[in-house]
Amino acid sequence: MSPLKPPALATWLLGLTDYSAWNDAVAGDLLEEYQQRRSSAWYWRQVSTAVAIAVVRDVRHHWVLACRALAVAFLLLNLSHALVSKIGLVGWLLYRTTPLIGWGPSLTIAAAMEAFLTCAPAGLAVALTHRKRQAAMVLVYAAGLFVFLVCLCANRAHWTLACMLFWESAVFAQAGALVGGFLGCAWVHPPSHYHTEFPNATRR
Amino acid sequence: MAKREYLGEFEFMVMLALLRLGHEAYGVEVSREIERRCGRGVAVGSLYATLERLESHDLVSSAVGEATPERGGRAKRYFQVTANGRAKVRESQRALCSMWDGLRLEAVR
Repeated sequence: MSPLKPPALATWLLGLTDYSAWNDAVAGDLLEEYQQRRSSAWYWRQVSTAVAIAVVRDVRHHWVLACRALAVAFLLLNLSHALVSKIGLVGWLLYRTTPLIGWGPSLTIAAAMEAFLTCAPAGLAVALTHRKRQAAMVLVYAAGLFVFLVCLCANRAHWTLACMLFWESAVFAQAGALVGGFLGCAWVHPPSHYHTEFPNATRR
Repeated sequence: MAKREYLGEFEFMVMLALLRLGHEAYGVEVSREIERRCGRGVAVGSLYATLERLESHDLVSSAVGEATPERGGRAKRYFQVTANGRAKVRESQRALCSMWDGLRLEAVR
């Protein structure tokens, strides 16, 4: 009987946090349990818990790095926002799509694209400039952006079109941050990459 | 009075599981032992975080074991309770027994 393969994306995510000397043991234990009786949902739950614990530990032990990641991210956010505004992407999208689908939907698409394209490069930059603790730093950036957006959205609690556009942009900004960040992670650690040896281990 | 640190509930369970399993204690077996005896599912991530903390306090030691095909070629990590760990378990047991001593739950409101 061939061995069951666990969800590849989950295994890759777990591999991104493999800077702990014990990560190999964690990955092996999860795989062994998965072979026995477990479901993909169980595997995802376990990986999420392990990644969350590793991220919290990384941020606690390397808070200066986390602050640097936030600084890099927000600097890049300003730059990419200026660049996206400068090239006039929103105006161009509105001009091209309004005759086809009307003013409302085209404004929605343009706002979503602008938010996504503003936040994705910052995520990519955080992943590429923090290669040793990529997943943790990308998630720190996403969390920082989430707090920032929630603070901004808190002042826009009425269901007007502008407010809905703002909330929609916030969702796409968050998606952009995560997509950009994990693209950077995949660039440095392609999904096929996985360490099987870990340092400082004593052989029994 | 000097501050004495007792083991937390989950730490205590992990230490007892390690003592029960002896030389066969690695992540999967420890989580199964806790699940079997306490009926409580254990997240492998939390288990390793606890083991890492216990090892940093010198209550547990670990060594790399063999890699098997069902683990995708990844090595097991075996754990053992150290002498300090045994002393800490005894201390926590004494503290718990002393708290339980003479207590009847029916009498507690």
